[in-house]
Order: sequence, then C-alpha cells, then structure tokens
Amino acid sequence: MRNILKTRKGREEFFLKMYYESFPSVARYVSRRGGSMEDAKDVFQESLMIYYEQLVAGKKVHEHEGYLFGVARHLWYKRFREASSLPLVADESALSQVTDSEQDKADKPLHLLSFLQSAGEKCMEMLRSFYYDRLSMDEVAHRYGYRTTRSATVQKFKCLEKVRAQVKDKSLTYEDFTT
Amino acid sequence: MRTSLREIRELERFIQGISLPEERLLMEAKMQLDTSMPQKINRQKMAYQLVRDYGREKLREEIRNVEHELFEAPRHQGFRKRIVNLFKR
Repeated sequence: MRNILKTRKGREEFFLKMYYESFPSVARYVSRRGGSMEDAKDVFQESLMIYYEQLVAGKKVHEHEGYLFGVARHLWYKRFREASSLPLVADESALSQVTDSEQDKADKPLHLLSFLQSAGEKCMEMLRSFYYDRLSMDEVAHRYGYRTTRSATVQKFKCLEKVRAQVKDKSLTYEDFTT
Repeated sequence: MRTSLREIRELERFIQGISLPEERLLMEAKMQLDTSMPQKINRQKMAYQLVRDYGREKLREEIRNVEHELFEAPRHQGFRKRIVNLFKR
C-alpha cells in the first residue's frame, strides 16, 4: 500500500479509487443531513488527506471505506456542530486529530507556496518527500538524482537550513508568513 | 558535513526525541551555555511545520486535480450522475 503512494501517479490512482469506493457513501450521508455536494467534496478531500498521512506513517488500515467514512462523519459532525453553535461534547479524543487538521485549514491562507519557494522548489520537494511523504533517504537520493544517500542527506540538511533561515524570529507564527 | 549542518542534524534528533542518552546530555549542556540554542530549536520546529504545511498544500492540489477530473471528464459521467442524484431534493 505504501509503495503506490510514493509517486504522484500512484497517489492519483489511489485517490481515484477512493473516490469511487467511498465518496458515494459520504455524499449520501452529507446529503441526508442537509449538506450540499460542495460540503461533501470538502469533507471528503480533508478525509483523504488525513487518511494519506496515516498510511504513510505506517498505520495499517484493513478497510478503506469504513475508515474514510468514519473520518468524514467526524468532520461533518464537527462542521455541523460549529455551524449550529452547539456546546462541545465530552468525547474529544477521537476527534482531536480531525479537529487539528480542520483547524489548520481554517486558519491558514494559501500564500505559503510563494513564500517557501524562495528556498527553491527542488529543496521544498525534497524536504516534502522526506518529512511529509515519508520516503526513506535512499528513495529520496534516487528520486532527486544523488549518487549516494550521504550526499542526499547533506543536501536535505542544507535545504532545511534555508527554510530555517527564513524563520527570523521565534515569536513569528505561521500567519506571519502568509499575510 | 559542515558544522552548521551537523548542528541541524543534532537538533533534528533532539527534537524527534531519538538522540542517544549521551547526545541528549550534550545538547542539554549546550542549551545551558549557548543562549541562542532554544531559539534555534524553536526555528527548526517551525521549519518542520512549514515543510508539513507545504506538503499538505501540495497533496491537497493533487486531490483537487483528481476530483476535478472525476467531475469533468466524460469517462466518469456515470459516477458523476450517481453523485448528483444524491443531492436532488
């Protein structure tokens, strides 16, 4: 499973399959609760991101549809709860991850790319492959054309140094980079 | 590897909590001696956060492209109709 997620093409196939298998049940759920198709699409997109992050982190999931539906239902429930200003329920633990991720989306405008690309797109892609997509350093070396894992590792730290250099002050928050 | 990169690598291990006990002790000592160390750690953590945000945005783009294809391309017409029907009131 993790191998297919390592290339863009593989991820595309995987996401397409997930849409076919799981989106109809999520859409039906959202529709029955008065949501629109756009709501269903948003919730599903976010669910796929969470699912992807779990998979590349090595989580074993035996049943895609049940997992995705569960995450989507939590996300929808959370939206509904916010929209209707209902008080928070006690069971926050199951929702915590979903909540964080949804919070990210709400808080962060999308001007990040232009800022970060000053570190160089190749650098950002390399860092993404290692830290976000969780490829091994051998795989990173191979993908970005380094002869040895060691030289790729040195480059990875150079890239990280560039990004770190842009973080000028410890009091800065993410929002400072995007406004 | 030059010194500054070695330091980044050490900080990475420290932040990820995978330093060996002796490395950890050394880092804690450095933090006592070098007052800029906490700030470096903080900046490095922010750098990881920025990389994560970048990764998420890129992934979101990929998912959006798939969704766009599903709702636009003729070959997915059957799927699309099935979804649209769910929202007919």
